[in-house]
Amino acid sequence: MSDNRFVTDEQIRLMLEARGRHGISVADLVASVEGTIEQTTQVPHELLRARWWRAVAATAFASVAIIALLVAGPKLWPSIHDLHITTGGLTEPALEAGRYRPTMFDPPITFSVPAGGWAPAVDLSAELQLRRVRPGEEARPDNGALTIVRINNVMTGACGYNGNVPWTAGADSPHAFLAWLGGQLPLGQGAPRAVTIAGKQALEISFGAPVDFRHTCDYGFLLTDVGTSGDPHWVEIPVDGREVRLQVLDLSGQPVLVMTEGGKLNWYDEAAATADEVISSMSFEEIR
Amino acid sequence: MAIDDDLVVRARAGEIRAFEALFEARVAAMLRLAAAIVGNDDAGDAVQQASIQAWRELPHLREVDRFDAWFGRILTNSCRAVLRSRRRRQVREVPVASLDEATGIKLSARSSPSPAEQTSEVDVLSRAFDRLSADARVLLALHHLEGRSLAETAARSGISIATAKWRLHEARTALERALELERR
Repeated sequence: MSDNRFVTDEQIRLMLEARGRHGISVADLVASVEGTIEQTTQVPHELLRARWWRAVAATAFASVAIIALLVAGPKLWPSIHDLHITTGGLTEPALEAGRYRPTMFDPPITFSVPAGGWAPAVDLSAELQLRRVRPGEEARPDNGALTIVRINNVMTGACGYNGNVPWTAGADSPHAFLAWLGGQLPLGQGAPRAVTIAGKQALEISFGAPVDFRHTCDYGFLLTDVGTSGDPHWVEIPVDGREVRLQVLDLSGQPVLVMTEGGKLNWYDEAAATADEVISSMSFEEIR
Repeated sequence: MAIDDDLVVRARAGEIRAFEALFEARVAAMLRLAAAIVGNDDAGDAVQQASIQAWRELPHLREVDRFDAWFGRILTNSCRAVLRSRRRRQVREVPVASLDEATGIKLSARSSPSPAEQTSEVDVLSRAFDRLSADARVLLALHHLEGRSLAETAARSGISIATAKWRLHEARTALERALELERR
């Protein structure tokens, strides 16, 4: 960053270094931590607990898969590529045409994309995001996105100072989720439309927040915290006037949101049309 | 296998001494980062909570060579939790004595401030930093104190590079606004 600012990089660094010169006794802290750890049991890995079951399941699955491949032939089993995100999102290249399986997202899902139309941006256990790549352009965050979110919880109040956001479980069906959202955002008067996504019943609603709509969060309307193990990762709905389509499906009692946004430059129709190609190819498995 | 990787494997398997060796090698840097983010009073708590959580959840770490990144994220999340647990609070006082030793930097374009002015200005910038959100503090500390690249900062924060760049800019702007408030 340039130093041609009101506060320079160097000033920030030196201030932080000054703050970092703590007066805490490292020896005392080490003794305290190590004393606590002696009394603390590690959380066993699920894989370890269920090793025998998984081994049986894996063997059975592999056997079925091999037999199916031998009988049906490879043409009936188009290859599925693992979706890899290695650069933190933005600089991922556009996907080649094919069928993909995210490595982290749960519920397990596969989907197909056309050549060069989408780039992977997020693959977390409860959030998957693809960014629209317009012809002749690189992937940009303002070109539109297709985001799939497992709704773990919803915020219960305003964003507070220091990012203090209260969350609660609930909104445990598409109806309940949209009813909750309708109390938070100006979704309009129209009733949600019943649609089918990946063979599942879903509710769909489109909205664009008025440009003068004010919310309490810095970066958009906070929707859900999809982080795990105390590791927050928030998903937001943009409320800056751009059009957004929300499709909420019920996956064995778990609401899953499919959000299509046109991006800051508001190429919504184009984004929605190309997103529909991907959405119509989606296939969900049961949540792990 | 690197020494640390071996320690991680053994700690993951439940060997306390291996985890202690990993922790002792990192505790100073962890305290420095935590103190910068949450302040001197709460830095020890943040490090302690992070370390205990890391020990408990270490069996879930799949990639041994990502231990430092994983542990680092637990620490910054612990710092966030400490800050959020304070609830909305008034700007607290940062001990000027610790800042006296920092440097004689000047925080404005004024020329040749006196030593008293310099100390005061470092103190003011630190108080302005205390007004920032937890996420803003973490991003600024990772980038400006630890010198992490944008990609590393993004990875440590669980966000994309584009988002990290934007939020760093927002954090910087927020710091400048907070500084204006402190100077009034």
